[in-house]
Amino acid sequence: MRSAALLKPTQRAQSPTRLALRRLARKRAAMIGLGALVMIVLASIFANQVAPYDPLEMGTGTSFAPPDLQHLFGTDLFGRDIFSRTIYGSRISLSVAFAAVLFASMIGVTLGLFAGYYGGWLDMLVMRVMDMLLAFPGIFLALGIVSLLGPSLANTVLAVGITSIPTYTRTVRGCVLSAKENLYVDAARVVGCRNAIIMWRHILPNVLAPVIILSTLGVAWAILNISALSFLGMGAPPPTPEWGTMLQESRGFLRQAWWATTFPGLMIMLTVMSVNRLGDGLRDAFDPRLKI
Amino acid sequence: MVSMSKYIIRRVLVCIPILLGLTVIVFSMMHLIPGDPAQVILAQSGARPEVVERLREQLGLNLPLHVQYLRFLDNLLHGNLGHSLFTHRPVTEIISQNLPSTMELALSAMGLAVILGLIFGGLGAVYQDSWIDNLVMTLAVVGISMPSFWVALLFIFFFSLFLGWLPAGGQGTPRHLILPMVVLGWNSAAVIARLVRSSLLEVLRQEYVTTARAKGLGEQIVLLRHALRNALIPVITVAGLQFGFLLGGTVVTETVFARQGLGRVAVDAIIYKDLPVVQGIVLLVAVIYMLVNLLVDITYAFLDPRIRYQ
Repeated sequence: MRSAALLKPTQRAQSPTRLALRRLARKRAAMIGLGALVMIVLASIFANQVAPYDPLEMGTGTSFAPPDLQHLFGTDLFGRDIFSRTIYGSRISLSVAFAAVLFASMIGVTLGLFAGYYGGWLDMLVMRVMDMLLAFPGIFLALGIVSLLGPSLANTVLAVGITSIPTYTRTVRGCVLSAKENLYVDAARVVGCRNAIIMWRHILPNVLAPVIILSTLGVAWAILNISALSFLGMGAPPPTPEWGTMLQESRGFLRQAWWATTFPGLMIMLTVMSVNRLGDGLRDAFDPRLKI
Repeated sequence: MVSMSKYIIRRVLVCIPILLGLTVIVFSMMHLIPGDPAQVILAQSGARPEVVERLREQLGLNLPLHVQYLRFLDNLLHGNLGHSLFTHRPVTEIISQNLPSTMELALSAMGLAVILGLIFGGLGAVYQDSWIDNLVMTLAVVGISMPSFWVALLFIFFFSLFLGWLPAGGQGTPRHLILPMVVLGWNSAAVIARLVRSSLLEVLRQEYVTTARAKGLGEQIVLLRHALRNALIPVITVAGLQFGFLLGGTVVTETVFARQGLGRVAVDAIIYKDLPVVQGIVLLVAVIYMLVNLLVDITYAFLDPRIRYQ
């Protein structure tokens, strides 16, 4: 009887995911990032309640009124409240960035899964196409896509999404290549699982960690790129309270109104930094060897 | 060395299909426009049918697709990228006029990013977990989180309008280059600093570093001659990737600082749907980027002989 008591585990067996989450919870920077991000997301969801003014309403104050209690971030050329516009802007930027990342990761992961699992000519074809997409540096491909489809918020999602597909495909493919050598894959095959089941139910969960990390950092990247496209006049059109568009509108008035360019930019930085901190923390907690 | 030349040849051969693929993508830009390209291009001027017809003729849109592509390739091989639809100047001329300024900006920003990245990343690794490390890495995170066009506006406000030290735009003297260079290189410096730090930390744990220290070498020699050299290998790859990022960044930087260059020309061409110019610039930038990555891979193989046998 005593030996049975000795054999009883003193600690409950813990899944790697739970261990990693615990590691993550101990990282101060990541937790601060998460906290800030939650606040920003809440503010964007409850923008109607948080923002004191309608983001499009003109003449809520005088033109270019400096920050005071009435207008925390001041007003812009048309007397619109910059604080309200910035809050509503987070709704646009976050949803557009999430949409772009979702689009890119779904296509990228699927392609990577198929390329890595089946190999052969499919792998060749997919990876060469990815090489070609990667051959266009930075924002140029996104600009090219927007130039074809015309400037709009929806097309920015597509442009930013397409440009980030290769990262997902390459990472997932690499992970699949090593994951499919595992014994449990052979076991699944022996008991007669179809390829689709093996791919989606057995391999996918094991390559998900890098995808989550990539997606988190991808949101930061997407926010930066979408605001950059808007700043160039190729994203959200002017009345929209998009951060990049707001900066574009007030960049000519730097001397008169420093607040009109400072606060939307600060908000981009804050959001991107929170996401980056969280992404870095996730990477360190889940997969410190991952070079992203 | 035989393996080296073999590696280079193999690596160059890989470029050929990519190059062909690039031409296909750039060529199909014309046909991916929803609707009839000629009509879309002329839409804002409410063109008469015969004008649309003339443009279709000029762009060769009436020919079968494969003939159009072959013509496009043939023209490319003869250094002919077509003409701007608005100024009617040859695209090659527009490019050769604007390329030097863009390269000047991108290369100087690259230099700055590498120097700052090495210094800050090195400091972070050497003083790991001290306040210096924390400060440097916090700066780096701030660096990669700031949108470059915003940094540009802040710098213009502070250094040009407030202090009056540096010109807010234009070009010509080195003083004009400072702000755009810092703005463009800022992000890459942060990326490189983070990489240098983690790469150096990994190398410092290696046994040959312990050996070097054990035989009594000074810390500086250990660091500079033994550790840094090996830590630089991954940095070179990322520097290559960052160069592409910088080329893309010139679009924003040149626009904010009203600098002449390919990025700004590209933005204008996109707004006015001047497709031949867009095609020419996109193709050129992609080819430059491809060559840089080729160079990086070859350098890499020189530094790390294991690569050649993969």
